[in-house]
Amino acid sequence: MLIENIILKNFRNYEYQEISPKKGINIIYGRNAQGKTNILESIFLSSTARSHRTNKDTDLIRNLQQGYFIKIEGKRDEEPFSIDINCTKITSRSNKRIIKVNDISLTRTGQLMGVLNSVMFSPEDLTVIKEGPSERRRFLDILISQINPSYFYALQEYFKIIKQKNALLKSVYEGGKNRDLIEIYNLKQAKTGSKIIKERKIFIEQINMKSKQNHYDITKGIENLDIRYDCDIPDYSGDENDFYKAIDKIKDKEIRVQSSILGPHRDDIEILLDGMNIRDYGSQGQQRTAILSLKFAEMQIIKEKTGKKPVLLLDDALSELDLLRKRTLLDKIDTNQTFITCTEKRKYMTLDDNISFYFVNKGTVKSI
Amino acid sequence: MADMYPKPLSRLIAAFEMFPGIGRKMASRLAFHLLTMDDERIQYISESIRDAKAGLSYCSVCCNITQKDPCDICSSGRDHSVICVMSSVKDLMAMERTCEYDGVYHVLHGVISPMEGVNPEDLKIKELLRRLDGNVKEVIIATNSSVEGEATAMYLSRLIKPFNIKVTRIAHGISVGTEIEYADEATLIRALKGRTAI
Ligand SMILES: Nc1ncnc2c1ncn2[C@@H]1O[C@H](COP(=O)(O)OP(=O)(O)OP(=O)(O)O)[C@@H](O)[C@H]1O
Ligand SMILES: [Mg+2]
Repeated sequence: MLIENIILKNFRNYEYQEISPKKGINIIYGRNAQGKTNILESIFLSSTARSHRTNKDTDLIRNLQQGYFIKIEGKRDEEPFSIDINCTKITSRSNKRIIKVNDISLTRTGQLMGVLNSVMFSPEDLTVIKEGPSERRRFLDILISQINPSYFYALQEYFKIIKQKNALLKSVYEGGKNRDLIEIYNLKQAKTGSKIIKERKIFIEQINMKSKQNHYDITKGIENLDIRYDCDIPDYSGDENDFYKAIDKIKDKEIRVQSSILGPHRDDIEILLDGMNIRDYGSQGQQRTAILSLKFAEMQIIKEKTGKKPVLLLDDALSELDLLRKRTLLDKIDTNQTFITCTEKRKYMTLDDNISFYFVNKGTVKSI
Repeated sequence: MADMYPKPLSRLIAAFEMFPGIGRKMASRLAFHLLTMDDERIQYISESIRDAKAGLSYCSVCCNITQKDPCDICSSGRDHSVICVMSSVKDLMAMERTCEYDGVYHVLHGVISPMEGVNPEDLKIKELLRRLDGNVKEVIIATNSSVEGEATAMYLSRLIKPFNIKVTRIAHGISVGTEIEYADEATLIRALKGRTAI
């Protein structure tokens, strides 16, 4: 993937801006709140149809304006492509968005997926380490679903089973007479749930292998990163019968709390640094490094499965790393094009070949 | 909001809202559309509703919708030793269109769904069990492959097993998420032929 031209009109703090990024590393620098992240956001938006930091499209329209426009032109395997996003405000909260690929309007947003592959590293990623288990499950589920659609269907089915079962538990608790139906939902939960856990375990193993190596490289072998799937089901080795037995045993409790309390929807992913839970023991820089190792593993896996090198977007991702970690990380990057935001130019002067610099000041970009 | 409308109009909206899948917004659209129609059409609509209700009933054997009892299928010379269980009349019609099936049917009128408050006793299951005398050799369960359809199938197979009757499930060569109603004939035939014991 290679982006060759970006046009922003009334997007965030840009009135009108053209940028011509180069192959290799593009460093976007400037003081705080000048519009660096906004550039990466426009690329991510053109890649996934959503912003990495807001769900409201109207946030993206420059203050007091009626709409924004983004155009991205580039090459995908030497084949030119263009993406246009045209967003117009209707009311203060609603808007209309037209997306075009190669000048043809899309009928469904899903058609944009895969036109421009990108991977974003942003401060928001840290939630995977810092927040609760649901963030980690989400990270894992999104990643596996992208690569394995049948996993996505299994997940949908599983959540449906859980919803139905919870409704049943509630009605049984309230005196409904269909207690024997629970068995049926438990059987289904155990069957579909086992499939999900199996996929997750296989995947965690791949992620673990790759992120361990990444972390080893970035820290020059000083730290050991370990990622494990943490499944709460007792005496469970993957056999759906064991899963069933475990939930059958807690049937009365589940009726009492009117909720399914065991299974992949309650599992977690353990991220260990030198054997300790990184959430509680890791320093800021260590947590940052771990998430980079993890996201790099994500990128490697996507690349392996789709055969395309995605554009890399590093927003602030290096700021808490020392120089050694930064350099090793940049050396590891195997992509045609990378965008990095930072506040100072100086620190990256030591890096060699294929670096372009862009200075951002109050919503204008100058190629240096 | 409905309070702002004249009473007959809000009643009409409320009436449309009783249909499955129709919310307040769609109900108002239908109601307002009805107001623009001429008397002749209105009469046609109201008569069709009344006649349908008066002229149609459930078959006392298979619970299909019919004008005479038992229904055409149940009173025909088809193979009465095989019963294909469908969740709706629409699914039954789809199966009939294949012209491949020569047994008889049983319509449940729904699937088990605790979320929507549909329990086994709300379906025509008692009526099915009553039919399982010595003449029935096989029960084919042809509910959808959705979570609800699968749970219903599992529930039925457990109920029928003690009768020592073969219980089979149609194979779903149909892609995940597809409803039987919308499947093409070829796919349905394949699914019917590839049915498996459960
Ligand atoms: N809809 C909008 N209209 C006008 N300006 C906006 C809009 N949305 C954001 N901004 C402005 O954009 C600037 C922030 O841009 P951005 O997030 O790209 O900063 P940054 O250069 O990445 O800063 P930092 O180094 O702090 O991360 C802020 O000044 C903000 O007020
Ligand atoms: Mg920023």
